[in-house]
Formats: sequence, C-alpha cells, structure tokens
Amino acid sequence: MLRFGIVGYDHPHIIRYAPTIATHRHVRLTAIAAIGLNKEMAKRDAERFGSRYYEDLDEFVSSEELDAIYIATDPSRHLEVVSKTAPKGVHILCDKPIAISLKEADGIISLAEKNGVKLMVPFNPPYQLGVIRMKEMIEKGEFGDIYNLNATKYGKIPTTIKGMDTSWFLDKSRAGFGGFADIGIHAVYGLMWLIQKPVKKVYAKIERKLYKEIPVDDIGVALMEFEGGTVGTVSAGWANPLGFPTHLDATFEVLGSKGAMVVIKPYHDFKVFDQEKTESVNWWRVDIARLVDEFVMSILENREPAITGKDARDALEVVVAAYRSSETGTEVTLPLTV
Amino acid sequence: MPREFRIGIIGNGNIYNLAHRPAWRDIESARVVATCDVVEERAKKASRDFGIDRYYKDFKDLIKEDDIDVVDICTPSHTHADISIKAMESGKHVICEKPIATTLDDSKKMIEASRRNGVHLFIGHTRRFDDRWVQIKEVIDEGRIGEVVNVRRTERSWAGFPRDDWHWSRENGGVVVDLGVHVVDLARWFLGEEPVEVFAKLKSIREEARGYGCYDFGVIMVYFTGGKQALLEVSWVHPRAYAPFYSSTEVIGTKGKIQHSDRDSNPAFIVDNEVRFPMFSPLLSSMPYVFTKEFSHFLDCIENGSKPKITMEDADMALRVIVSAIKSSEEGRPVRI
Repeated sequence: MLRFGIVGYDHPHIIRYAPTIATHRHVRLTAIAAIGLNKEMAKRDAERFGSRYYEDLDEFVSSEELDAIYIATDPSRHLEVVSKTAPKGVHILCDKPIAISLKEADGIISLAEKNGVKLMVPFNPPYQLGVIRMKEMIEKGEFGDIYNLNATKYGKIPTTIKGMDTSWFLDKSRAGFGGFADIGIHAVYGLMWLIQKPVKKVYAKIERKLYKEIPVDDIGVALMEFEGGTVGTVSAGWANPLGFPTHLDATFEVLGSKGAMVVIKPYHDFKVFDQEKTESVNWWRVDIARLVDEFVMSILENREPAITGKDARDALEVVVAAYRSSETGTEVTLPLTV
Repeated sequence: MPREFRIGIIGNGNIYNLAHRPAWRDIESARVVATCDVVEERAKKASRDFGIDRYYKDFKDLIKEDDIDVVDICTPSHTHADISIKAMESGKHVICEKPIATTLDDSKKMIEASRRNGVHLFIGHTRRFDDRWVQIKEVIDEGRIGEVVNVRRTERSWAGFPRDDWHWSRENGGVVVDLGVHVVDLARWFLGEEPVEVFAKLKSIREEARGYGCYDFGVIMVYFTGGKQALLEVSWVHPRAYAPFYSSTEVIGTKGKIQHSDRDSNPAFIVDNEVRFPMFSPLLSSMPYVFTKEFSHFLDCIENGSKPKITMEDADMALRVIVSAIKSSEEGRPVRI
C-alpha cells in the first residue's frame, strides 16, 4: 500500500480527489495537510478517512514518511510544496496549472528530476471515454489528415461552489490567471494530446466580460496553429450561468480529410427535474478515477506517468502565449523565451 | 387592395429553383412577369413556372421593361454589382441574393446607386427571417441572458456544387464569402455591436477549392466594440453524412447562455441502415418559409417606404469583415476593420 498525503484543501478538485485517493485499492490516505483555506473541511475528511491532520507544511513534512502526495494548494504554492517534499523522495501528483509561471514550472520539473520522483499533472480529457476514442481514431488515421480541432470548455465561476472558500481564484497573485486558464488549460492540453504536435502560433482574446466585479479574466477564445498547419480553437471560461444543469460543459470536435467526430459533454450524468430547474448529476467521473490510478500505477510499475511535468509545462506555455497575445493584440509564436 | 408588385427574376439556377421560385409563388401581392438567364433554356423553363412566356437571355433587356417594379437577382455573387447597379439606374428596386458583392468597391457602388436613384436595394440575408435565429434574438433582446458578450457560430456542410460551378471560383471567395457573410451578420446582429478587428485562418482543402484557389474552410475571430467577440467557423468540407447542413450557435451573456445545434435540436432524425437527417427544407440552411417571409418584408418596405430588417449597409459590413478576414489569413496578422 502506498502511503499517500494530501497537501492543500484550496482547490475544489479536492472534493472528488480526496475520496478517489482514499478509496484506491493500492493507497492508504495517511495524512492531510490543510496549509491554506478550508481547514474545517480537511479536518472532517481526515476523520472520515482515518488520516492524520496537519495545518503546517514543515511539521507535515518532518513527521510523515510518505510515498506520494497530491497537491491541491493554490498554484502559487506548488513550487514551495514540491521543494519541501521532493527531496524526501515523495512522488507528486500536482493539480493544474503546474505553476503560475513557466519559470516556476521549470523549477518544479527540475526538482522532480533531481530527486528521482514521479511528477504528474492531472488533465481530464485523456481519461474521458469519448475523447479517448477520438484519439484512437486519429492515431489509426480514420480521419485522414487533420484540418481542424475545436474544444469548448465552460464551468461555473468557482466561487459559487458551496461549502468551500475558493476566493483565491480571483487573486491573480495566487491563481496566476483567471477563468480562461482555469478551465481552458484542460482543453488546450486535450487538443495537444489528441494531435500529438506542438502549437506553433497562438492568437487569443481573453478578458473579464461576465463578472464586472472580479479582478481577473472570466472568458477567452484562442485560435492556434499546430505544427503541420492544423487549426485549433479553444473557447473557455467561467461562462456557465448559475442555473446551468451542470458545473462543467465541454465539447471536442475533429475534422479531417476522411471524416469528422464530435464529443459532447464527456461526463456521465443523470438528470433531476424539479419545479424550478434541471440539475444534471455527474454520477461517475471515470476520468478522475483513472487519473489517480495512472499516477499510482506509474509509481508501482516504476515508469513515467502518462501526463508528465513537461506535458503540463507545454500546455502552460500555450496558455501563457494566449494571454500574451491578448495583451499585445498580436499572434504569438512559440516556443516562448521564459 | 394592396399594390401588386411586378417582379423580374434574373438568374434561374440553383437558389432560384430551391428557394426563390416557391417563395414568389406563395406571395399574393407579387406577380412574376419575366425571367432571365444566360442559359436561355433555363430562363424559358423558369418563365413556365409562372405560366408566362416572357423570358430573356440578356438581363439588360429585362431591366429596360417599364412594367417591372422589382428585380430579383439570383446570379453568381461576382455579377451582383453590375446587374443590380444597371437595374437601379433603370429605376428598379432590387432584391439581391447575398453576399451583396465580392469586393468592397462593388458594394460601395451598389449602395451609391440605390441612394442616387431613390430605389431600394435589399440583400437576402435569410438568417434574419428564420425563426430559429429570430427567436434567439428575441430572447437576447428581452434581456434574459443579460448582456451578450460572446457568440460562437458554425455553419458546416459538404458543398455539392459541380467542379466547374462558380461557387468554387476564386473571385467568389468560396465558403468564406458564401457562408461567411451569414455567420458574421448573425454575430453582429446578436451582439448589437460593430466589428473592430478580425483574425482568421482560412484553408483550401478540397480539390475543387485548391484548383480554383478559393477557401472551403475558415475559422474567423471577430472583436467587436464593447469588448465583445465572435468565434465563427464556415466549412464546405464536413463529410456528407455529418449533416446535410449543420449549424451550431452559442450565445454567452452575463446572466445566461443560449445553445442551439441542428444536431441536438433537429425535429427528428431517421435511423435505418444509417443515421439520416430529415430533409425538412429543400435548402437545409434555412427553414422553408424563410424566403417567402423575406420577400414579403421587402415588398412591405417598398410599399411603406420603411427601413428593412437587414439593410444594404448591414450587408456591406458583413462583406467588409469577410474581406478583412481574407486579408488577415493571407498576411498572418489581425486586421482592423
């Protein structure tokens, strides 16, 4: 059994990751360290899963002998957490974005390399069944030459998530970016993973349009050109209104010389109707179960995880380039100079 | 008893047969009195559609006739300017298929001719008469989704035009002009703002398009006043089985959003040995009544001297954005409108 720790209860992904990790067949969730927000929630989870509970990172690091951790702090603290845990040989599942800058991402990657620990960043699309099928068909050449890939991915603004303090999403110094990056980085990575080619150019418009009172962007559109000329688009942000039946909403589309394919909302849900609204409940997040499993198995089988720190950095680079394009009003060429 | 309008139809090909012929036959206040096509046989056949035996090979002969009030132009896009300007100089009101023209120079001259001669120039942007989009616009105007900030619109098909058809010619601009003016106009209409900047990536994919150097696929980003934006896609390269004609619309506002797609919102689809979509309209991009509604509206505007729901300036702006999109794609940079 792997001795697993969770560091940070800031990211709302914790709602699904904590029970998924705690119930994994090869894992014992040994310790939880709530080093930022949502301490009460973390304490409740520690009791629920029989884990030791900490609020201080240094005390957690010095007291626990762990095989792996999942980092769900705000991304501005990822480097700090990795710099204290990787030297102890702890494998790292670090939530997205890998960091708030490319420089910090490079720091995290080199710490993992230097200390010989696995580093994985969980992006959902490679573990969603429809998107997996799309990738298989692209690889087999069933669409021929790929001309166009589109992704839309929208969520509700995370500050509306009940029972959690997620105010850091609206603080650029802690989140790094706003709504486009928060939601869109999954879609950006999804397209890069589907086509297995680097992005050469990005043009984007990313702005705060939906929520007048917040200090960060909430929606954006990016038009990308992949190596080989495939055109990609990503529309993403906190654009799901509060009455939308689900928190998340996504589509993936591919067009090639031999065919086309559309994946609409790659989640498994059932619908609940009452007099006021329709709610759609995601009863199975197969992607999260598989992401956690992939990370665990990469440790047990001593191999590279399917999504590496480098992959996460590549996706972050496209996102950074998109923001740069939006700021300068020009098409930005990659790779970026850090 | 409302006035009877006497109509001459120039161009008796594809769009005439699919849409204009049935529409004119539906309108009581209109009487088609003459037809015209460079292919005389087609003109002759068209005249019989209306039980008349009056047809022309040369449009200049048709527009000379005193008993014609309105000329309906269904010719290839690049000929719109020449025909419509001459018709307007002869004092005819003009209903012209979209796009208004293929160059901004042409569209400018058309608008000038309309003003100079005191006649109407109507451009057939049918989307503005289709209940699907009209009702989305009404929901927007009611304020139900707050202030609209983003529009995403796609129009996709496998164009079935023969290889030597004018649709594939470079001067007619391919799908980027043909459907591009529709998606731009729809976005501008929904957003209620003016385009400021455009960035586009256009492709020539099918052999027909490559051969003639026209674009059959394009992604176009348009930035509007008020910080609003549209992501638009037009395609003639989506496989035939994808849908006879597919469109999707997403409108995001500060208080809500609207989603529609022909696949999710179709009246039905048919499954036998394959999945098929119902041919609910001969022209699948538009509901069947749309042209009737559009022409009736234009005739009302002539009757009452009122402003049409889609003005020639609107049509010119749609073309302006598309011309800028082509420039953007060819120069690899954003282009100011």
